[in-house]
Parts: sequence; structure tokens; C-alpha cells
Amino acid sequence: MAVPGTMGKILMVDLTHQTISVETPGDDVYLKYLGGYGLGAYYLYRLQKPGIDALGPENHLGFFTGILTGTPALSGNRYIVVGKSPRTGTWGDANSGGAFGPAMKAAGFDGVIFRGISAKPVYLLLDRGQAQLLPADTWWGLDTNDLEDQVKQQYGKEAGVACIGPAGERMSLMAAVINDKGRAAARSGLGAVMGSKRLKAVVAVGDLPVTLADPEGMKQAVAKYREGMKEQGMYKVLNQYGTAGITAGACVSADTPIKNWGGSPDDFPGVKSISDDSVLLIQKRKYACWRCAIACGGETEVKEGPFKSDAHKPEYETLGAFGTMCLNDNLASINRCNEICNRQGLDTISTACTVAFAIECYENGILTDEDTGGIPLKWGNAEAVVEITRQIGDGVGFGKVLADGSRLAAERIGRGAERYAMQIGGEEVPMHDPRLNPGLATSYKMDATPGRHTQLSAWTAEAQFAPPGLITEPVERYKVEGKGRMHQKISAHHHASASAGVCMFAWVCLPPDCVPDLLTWVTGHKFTVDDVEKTGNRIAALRIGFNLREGVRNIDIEIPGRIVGKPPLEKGPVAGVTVDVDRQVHDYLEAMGWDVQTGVPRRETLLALGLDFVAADLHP
Amino acid sequence: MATVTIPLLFQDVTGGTRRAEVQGGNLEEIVRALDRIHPGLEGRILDGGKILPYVMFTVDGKIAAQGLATPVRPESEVSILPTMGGGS
Repeated sequence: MAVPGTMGKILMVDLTHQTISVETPGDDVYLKYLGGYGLGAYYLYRLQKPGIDALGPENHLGFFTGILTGTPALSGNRYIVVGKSPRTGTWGDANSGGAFGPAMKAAGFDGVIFRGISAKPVYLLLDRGQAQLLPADTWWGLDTNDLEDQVKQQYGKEAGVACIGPAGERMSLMAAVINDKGRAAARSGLGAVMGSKRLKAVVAVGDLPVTLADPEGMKQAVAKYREGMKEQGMYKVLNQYGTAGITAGACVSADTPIKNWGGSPDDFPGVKSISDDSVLLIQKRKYACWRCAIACGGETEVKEGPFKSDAHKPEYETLGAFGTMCLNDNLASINRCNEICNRQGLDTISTACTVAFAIECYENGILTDEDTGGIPLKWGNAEAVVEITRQIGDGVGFGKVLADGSRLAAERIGRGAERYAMQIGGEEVPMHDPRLNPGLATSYKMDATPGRHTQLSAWTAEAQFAPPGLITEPVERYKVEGKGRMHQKISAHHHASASAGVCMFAWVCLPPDCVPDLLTWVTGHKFTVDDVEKTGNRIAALRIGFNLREGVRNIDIEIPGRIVGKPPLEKGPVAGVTVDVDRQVHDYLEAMGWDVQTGVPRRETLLALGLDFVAADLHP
Repeated sequence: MATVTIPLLFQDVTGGTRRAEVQGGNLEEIVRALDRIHPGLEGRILDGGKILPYVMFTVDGKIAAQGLATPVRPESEVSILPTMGGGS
């Protein structure tokens, strides 16, 4: 019998030969890696050779649920897409909510791993423990929303679908995997990997139950933790607004980068018009991901005008990137850009940051009307922001130059454009500024997926939203000493929680004993807080081991000077701040038990984590 | 009198009112004055005399760096904003 909480099956799909087989992981594998990117990293590290082309047949693309996905666990609805990233050449992963993860489990599988390239467009149907590859010729070219409508028509409204849009089909390196029409596994460019395999969608149908070791114990634990969660300020803000609620506050405090990281809050006085109450004015319906009490989602509609649009409520990241970064305070235009990105299947962070990059190039004469096809890419020009986003989504005009993100766009443009490309290792940087919360710099540089904010770390303590009780010592925002241990602790617990399938926003509202408790009730195996921390350290080391085997040392990845205050800003709340990245990274590596010169996990660290196979590669 | 924008986050206390004109020389006095109009609002903003971590104030568009001691002029525009972590 499989470990309770799991379906006991991982599907292996060879798209080149159109063959499917089932792998049955041992109990120890589930319990050591918990699912999600933990299990994904375990499989991909073992299956994949280093140095392969991320868009070639040898790259493996995995879809993984966690042990808590599809159970009554609080916000246990996540799935994670994994693979080698074509953007960064490193480990890639991207996480999404909605209903697809639980649907995949109800269809009988904990995960699916694809390799090879199909000769023709296909989709994978998971149906009550069975699987088949089916032609997707008639679906190829459809946007994600139209495709989902087709799937629901064919397989019923409970069917889950994760798919790519036209951007993924064209292998735009900013392409996302989309489910539920607007939930996105957006980062790392994994939509392009899906497109390279001519895999249009994964469809999940079924109602198989997820077994729990102790349903009554689980019920009581969930009730207890749910009540505690609802007392947290983060819960209250997210429940009222979604992440859109924090946009103005983040901007005035200088958490949000402004004007492509070169501005300060004074440059964007209109931020209230793209934040909290303003966003609720265009919200037509609130919604929750599968069985989530936070219910941060919403659908928004602009009924008239040039930016008429019907979309998912823009997240904070989307509002910041299309708004604050571009000095665009026109909410309707951002809603329209969000609709374009969701339908075409694009990461809103990378797309909008690439637009901000193009604007700064245009404002500084590196780009002209001749380059842009006559689009005046000026700061705050909402019409231009929407039009260039449309061109990126459609893969036409100047959008073709920008379609793979700012790093490649800068190479194509030349003329010194790279100085305005605010990317780390090839990934555009999200909407949280290390000059306010310096721990972000360590995450942006040292996480296995560079430029990632959703792998939580010491910055959540600096910003005062670490899980209640996880960090007990006082936190001084700009003090380096001790932050490495704080980073390691928060990151480890979050690695475990994310692998298990719990939403990040629920996790930060829950005490540190919650995830081990829930894992215990679900699996019947005792998990302690220390077990979970060790598991998180294991998964973090495995993800970074993937990079090292690829020849990528995260310590060599550079952060653009502007992002860490080199030179510092001259005005605003973070004026004069320069982040001491080297000292922070040194402190972090010591805490992790990784070599402080090379960033390579020490042999004894790997062995203590049970990663003998990684130790054998990194310390031959 | 200063003009205060109150977010919908507190609509259960304010009945949906989003603006108020109140008198006060600093934010602490403003919060007290708001509580007289909307009883219970202070308890949603402060805990033990401190601003709760998911509430932020701006005065005339600038973050209220001195917390509750931040000066407010009669013609000031005060905004109460929801936030993710800490903020004055």
C-alpha cells in the first residue's frame, strides 16, 4: 500500500516514442522528499544528464503534487512544474494553485515526468489511474482560456487542465504553464520547455480519494490551525484584497522597485489607483483555490474603454511590474496586460519587467521609433505598455525582439542596452527590493532558481511576515550577522512546506509545528519540526546540486548593481542603502554547511542529509 | 482638519465609509479621533499602543517614519494602507 496521502504512482512519459510507464516510488522516497520540487529534484537529478539543451529531447519536464495536495490540509492545493530552465540554464521550478493539483491526484497520480519530443502536438489525459497520449492538433494555437473551455466541454467541468498558450508553443522563454485560466506556474520559462515537447496540456479527470492515515486527527488539527490562521494580519489582508492589497503600501515603503529599479516613491504618486480598494472596484467576483480559506483570488472586469478586459485579478507582482516599474498608474491597462499574459501563457513578472527595460532603452535613445515600429515607449504611457505586451504575446513586431526576456533582448538590441536589463542569471527580478529587505539579495543570488522571491528566506523576517513563532530572536533589518542561520531556517521549512503542496500564503500564517503535524496525521509517520527542517535542507541542497552538476555556481551569479544599491539611491526611504551581498552570502553558506568559497555543499553535509548520490558527483 | 482615507479592510467597523475629516497633531491623536467616529477602529489598527504589522500610514504621500508620533498638519492627507509586513 502506498504511503497515505500519496497515490503511489509517478507516470513516466516518453514523447518521442509515445510510450507510458508507471514508477512506484518507495515509501522512503516519499517521506524524504514529500512531493513537489523535492520529489521532482530527486527524479530529475537521477534521470537527467548535465549539460543537455533545456529545449531539447533530453530535458525532463515534471509535474508534481505534494503529500498534502488534495488532502484537507490548509491550502493544500499546489502543484509544481520542474525541469532545467531554458532561461537560466539552472534548475527550474514554478508553483501554482487553483484546482489542477488536487485534480491530478484525484486522477490517480502524484506526478508525471515527460521526456523526448512528440512529432505532433499532443496532450496527456490522466483518467482514474489510467493515462494516454492524445492528438492536440486542433488545440494547438488556442489560448489558455479557450483551451480550458474546450477541455471542460469534452471532459466535464471538474476536469483539471494545465496547459500552454501560443507563447509556449513558440517557445518564448517567458512562457508559463497556466491552469484555471489564470493561475500560473510562471517562472523559469518552463512553458517553453512544454512547447518544445509539443505538449499542449495535461488533463486530469477522476474522483479517486486520497487516503489519510488518521482522518479524525487530521480534521481536528486542521480546525485548530485554521482558527489560528484567521487571526493573522496577512490572512486578513489577503482575504480582503488578495495580494493586490499591498501594492500601495509596498510602493511607499520602497519594497516595490520603481521605474525599472531606478526610481523612488516620489516618482509614482498615483500608486493608490492601482492598489487595494481601487482594484476591488473592478473585481466582479472573488474566488478561492481548491478548499482554501484565504480565498485571495478574484475575477476583474473593465467594461469599456480602450482597455476593456475580463481577467483574473492582477496580483501584486503584476500590478508592480506593469504599474510601478513602468510608472503606469492606469489600472485598466494593467488588467488588460494581465489578460493578455494569462491567455497567451506568459509570466507577468518577466514580461512586464522586459517592457520596463524597453521603456528605459527608449527614453535613453537606445531604442527609437524605427526599432519599436512607432510605439512611443515612454514612462507611464499605458497605451504603449499594452500594445507592446500584445506584440510580445502575439510574437509579432518589436514583441519578437522582447519575447525571450530582457537579457536576450539586450543582446539583440546591442548599443549598451544590457545596462538596463534588470535580470539575475537570466530571470527578471520580482517586485521586492533588497535595498529595503537585504535578505532578498541572498535569495536572488543563491536560490537554485536565481531571481526568485517565492523561495522564502530571512527577508520575510525583515519584512515582519515570517510564520508566527518560527523566528524568535529580534530582527534588525540591516544587520548581517545571524541572518544566514535565519535564512537557512526559514528557507528549509518553506522548502518542505512547498514540496508537501501547501500554499506559501497559508504557510506564513501558520506556526512551525503545523506542517509536521499535518504530515503526521496524513501519512501515519511521525514528523517533528526538526524532521521538517532537515527535509527542507535536503531539498535545498539537492536543487543546488543540480546547478553545480550543470557547471553553474550560484556564487558566480551577479546581481545588477542598481538592485543592491550600487550606486545607492539618492532619495526615498532606501536612499543611501548598499547591500553587502558578499558578507550576507558568506554568512548564509556557513549556516548551510556549504563551502564559503565555492558554494558547494560540503561532503559531510550531503551525507548527513542522506544525499550520498549527490556527494558522489560533487566530491568524487 | 486632516483628511483620512480608510481602507475597505475596516469596513466592518466603518460601515464602508472610506474618508473622514478629523483633528489631531500627530497620528496617535488622529487614530483616537477616528475611533470616536468609528468605535472599535483603534483596536483594528493598534495593539498595545503599537501599529499592527499589517497596517501602514502615510502622511502627505510619505511613509509615516515616526510611527504614531508622526506630525500631522490640519491640511494633511493621511492614508491608512494594508501591508504585508511591517510599516509605520
